[in-house]
Amino acid sequence: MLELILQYLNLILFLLLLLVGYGFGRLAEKRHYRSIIEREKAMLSLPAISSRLPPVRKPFHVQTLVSGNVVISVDYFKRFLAGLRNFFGGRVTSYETLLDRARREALLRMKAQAQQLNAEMVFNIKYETASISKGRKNAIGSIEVLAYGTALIQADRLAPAA
Amino acid sequence: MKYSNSQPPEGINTTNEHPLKEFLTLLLGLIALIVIIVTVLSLAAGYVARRVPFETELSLTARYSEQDDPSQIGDYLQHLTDQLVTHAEIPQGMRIVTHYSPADTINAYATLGGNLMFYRGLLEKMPHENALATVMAHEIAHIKHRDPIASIGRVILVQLALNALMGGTDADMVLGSTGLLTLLKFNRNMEQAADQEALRIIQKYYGHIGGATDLFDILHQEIHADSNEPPQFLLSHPQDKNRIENLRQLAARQGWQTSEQRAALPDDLSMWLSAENHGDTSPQIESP
Amino acid sequence: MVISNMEIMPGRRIKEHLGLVQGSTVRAKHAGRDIMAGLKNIFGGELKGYTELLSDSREEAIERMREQAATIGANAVLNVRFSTSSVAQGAAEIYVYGTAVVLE
Repeated sequence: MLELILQYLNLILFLLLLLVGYGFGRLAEKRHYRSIIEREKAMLSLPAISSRLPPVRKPFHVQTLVSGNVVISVDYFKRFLAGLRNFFGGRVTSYETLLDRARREALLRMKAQAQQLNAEMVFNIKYETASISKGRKNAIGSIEVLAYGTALIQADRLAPAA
Repeated sequence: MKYSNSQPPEGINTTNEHPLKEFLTLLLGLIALIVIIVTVLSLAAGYVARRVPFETELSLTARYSEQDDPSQIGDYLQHLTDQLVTHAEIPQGMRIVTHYSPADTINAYATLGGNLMFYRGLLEKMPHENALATVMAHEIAHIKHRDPIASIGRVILVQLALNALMGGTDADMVLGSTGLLTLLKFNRNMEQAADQEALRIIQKYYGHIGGATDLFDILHQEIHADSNEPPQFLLSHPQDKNRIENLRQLAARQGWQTSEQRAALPDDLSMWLSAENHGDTSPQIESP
Repeated sequence: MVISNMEIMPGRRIKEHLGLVQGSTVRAKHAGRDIMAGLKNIFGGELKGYTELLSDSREEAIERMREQAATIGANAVLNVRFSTSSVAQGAAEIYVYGTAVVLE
């Protein structure tokens, strides 16, 4: 029995990682989505607009750069799934949620920063995505998403920190 | 102008398919693909490899095809091989050389360049010459059928193809650990064909097939007595019920008779086997 | 100093363009963070260590850009852009650039 286990140690370890990755990854993703949706609803009052030019109102806004970033990693199961998908081609569903979560999380963090500054809205939103660490055999392990924009703050509501 | 954000519904940028479903579909697809590739390539490689001239095979293994330094046991094995070969109807230009190794391994095998290898461990188990001749005829049949080059050609081609296909994905890790090396063994059909040919040679040589399967019975009994280390020979020559049954049917069809007659092994065999000074009769790699 | 990624500043006229200013920093993660990241690569989830590292790096890069702008006499940097590139295994360059201007 022990010999059998030793002989197939690689395979057993691999299956274990797959199982653990699936369980924890799915749990983490569900929890993250719940929190994202909740916070997005709470932040709806602070509009984030990707237009290039701000509205011209009087009195004029004070403007400052705000940003939010997140580095997020895919689990072992999803990475393996993506590897399989890589072979056949087609839609890599396991990375869709990863990128979706990262973009929304980054935007939320940017909004949170803007909220702290008592901003009225955030303009000219830009995203920057980078794959941070290349995992085993060049499979993308984790990505960083940075969201940044210009927060417009009404002069009379300027927070002391700004 | 009014500026506001609204909450778009979920699931537009993501796919709501269950990941396990996708996983199973892809995995089964991959396995099916691999099975097809391996089957097609094995058949193709076996077909092509058997058409490689024996001279080419011989030139690859020239340094191992030399006969060992003369020794009593080596001479005896080679002599028995030569006797059997006269009945084996091997193709022109094919030459079969038998080597002896004093290692304990309970095994014998046929390999490239018409080389047979017998280990001391297996020879010690031989009850009589008929059993030894059966094993030898079986290995001679492998050479005659060009099984060694066919199986090596198969392994090389399949490995190359799989590496080219799977390289760079995680899939090759799984393949690596499941061990495609098992392909190195001769496959079932090769073993079956070699069995039948061996029986035919034994019938011609002794005039009957009595005692041909005795060795297997002995080795099987040993497995049950002491399960620690199954003889290597049984791992590379799996004897299931079907195979022995097939042989019995073949013998019945051909009208081959069994008999209680057994040719004895040389009286001095056990002395030769236990002699320590045969330690270097195994094929040596010559330094150039 | 005003830092913004918009091209204009409503209500204030740009008196003078002083050209490109930039800040950059290359940072490597330490081994401890790498081990945590390795675990996260199995379980999935946020790599908090990396998030902080990159966020700190960006602040430093902005600070350097601000310093450049200040020394050439600007009082604002407009149209700011970020860029990230992984220079080597485990090291990333954070680059930020923009137009230094003098606002009225």
